[in-house]
Amino acid sequence: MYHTDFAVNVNNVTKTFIQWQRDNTGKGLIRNLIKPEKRKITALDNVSFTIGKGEFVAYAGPNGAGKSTTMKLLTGMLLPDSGDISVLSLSPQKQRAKLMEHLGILFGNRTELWWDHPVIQSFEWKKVVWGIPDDVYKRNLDMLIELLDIGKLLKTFARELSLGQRMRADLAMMLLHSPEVILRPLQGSQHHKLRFR
Amino acid sequence: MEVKKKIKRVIGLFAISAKMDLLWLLRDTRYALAGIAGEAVSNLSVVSGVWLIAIRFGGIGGMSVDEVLFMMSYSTLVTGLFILFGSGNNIHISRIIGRGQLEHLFMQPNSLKMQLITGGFVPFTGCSNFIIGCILLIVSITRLQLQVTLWWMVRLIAHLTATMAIIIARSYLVSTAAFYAPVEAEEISTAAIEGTWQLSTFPLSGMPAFIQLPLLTILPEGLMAWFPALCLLGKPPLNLTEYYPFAYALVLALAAKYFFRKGMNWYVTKGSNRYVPYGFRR
Repeated sequence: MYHTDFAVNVNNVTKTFIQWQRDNTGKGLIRNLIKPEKRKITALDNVSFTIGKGEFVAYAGPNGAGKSTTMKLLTGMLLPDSGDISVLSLSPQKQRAKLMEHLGILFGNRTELWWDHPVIQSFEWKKVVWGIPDDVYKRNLDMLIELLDIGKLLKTFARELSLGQRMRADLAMMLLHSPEVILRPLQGSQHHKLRFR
Repeated sequence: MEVKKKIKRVIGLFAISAKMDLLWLLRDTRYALAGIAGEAVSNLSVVSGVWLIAIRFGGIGGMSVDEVLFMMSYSTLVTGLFILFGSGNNIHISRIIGRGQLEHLFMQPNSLKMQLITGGFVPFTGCSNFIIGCILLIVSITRLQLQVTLWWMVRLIAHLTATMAIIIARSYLVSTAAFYAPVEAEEISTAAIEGTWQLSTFPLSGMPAFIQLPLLTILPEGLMAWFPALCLLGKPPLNLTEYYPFAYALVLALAAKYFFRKGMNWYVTKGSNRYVPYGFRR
């Protein structure tokens, strides 16, 4: 049973990974052939938290603390070993497609823009794939052009954008469908931002 | 209502794929047209090579020149369908899995199945082989003076569907390796499909059974054009039933579904630490 008052509800979630290990000595190389050494990493150990609607939360921790794992669990890209997760009262595991209508996520090291098309064409693509109504699309596009100052980038091919310009265009694309929960992992840094409304 | 919404969404996704393809073509039309022409010439050369051999020797292994041409038209149609619907790595799925790009698909508010069906549709840049296949089909039917009835057309479409199902199922079956070994198996579907693709354009009639049988079972290259073409000509080879390709497609598709689902479970349980940015968006 999920609580509808919360935007995010993470309950006793544990997630472990297995990492391959190998030292570069001759003995290590031979041992790797016969019986590879593996290490169990507990990325999340019985983690519980809730985030209410309208809250703005920074999710911080040292490298390897499980921040990206949490993001992937919240979006249904990974399954937990144990525990329950709900986002907007939806299960990321079982209702991923439905959840994605209301969730926006932008990983720093990847783009959702179409590489060989102008930015505006990627936005048009998203409008169709997400089924964004015309009025919502137009309103959000106008707002994002002003807020993120991307008016001059719309006709530019994504391939030609600088990193900063691409990030702004990606951010605008992420917001086009009025997501109710925004996950914004920052690459290589020790914090992630979550915004809920 | 739900079904109606789904159908509308699928049509919308096909339409946006087509639009993206057209706009990609118009981005730099000269190079795009050169690419399309090159692909068509390449395919025609494969077809004409076998056909010229057939003309020189008055047929191959008991198949007449026109029957060989008919088989070539079937093969070209299959290649055309493959390019027309599978140009987004949605058939070469090991590339998407191996490069850790499934996460792009997870972010979309549509089922993976729906995305994979519609994501590789390129009716403008990928239509040349299909059109050539249709032309060759008409020419060969005319030369053979085949009686084209509605039932025959249904059989043609059914055989093409079964052939495509075999190609897709084979790709998805071998691509499950990319869940477990993403670096090593990233291109495994290319090796599995295109590594033996050339074999599928050769008439196997006249070959000994120890060559024909493996090519109808272990490596299904004989089912890519030779077997279905002979069925459509009313001469199913090796005393096999015309329904053999359908049974083969069904078994392979069920196996692919089972193993792919297992691989997918592995992926969402273990995750992928290998993300390669190129190749997802053209």
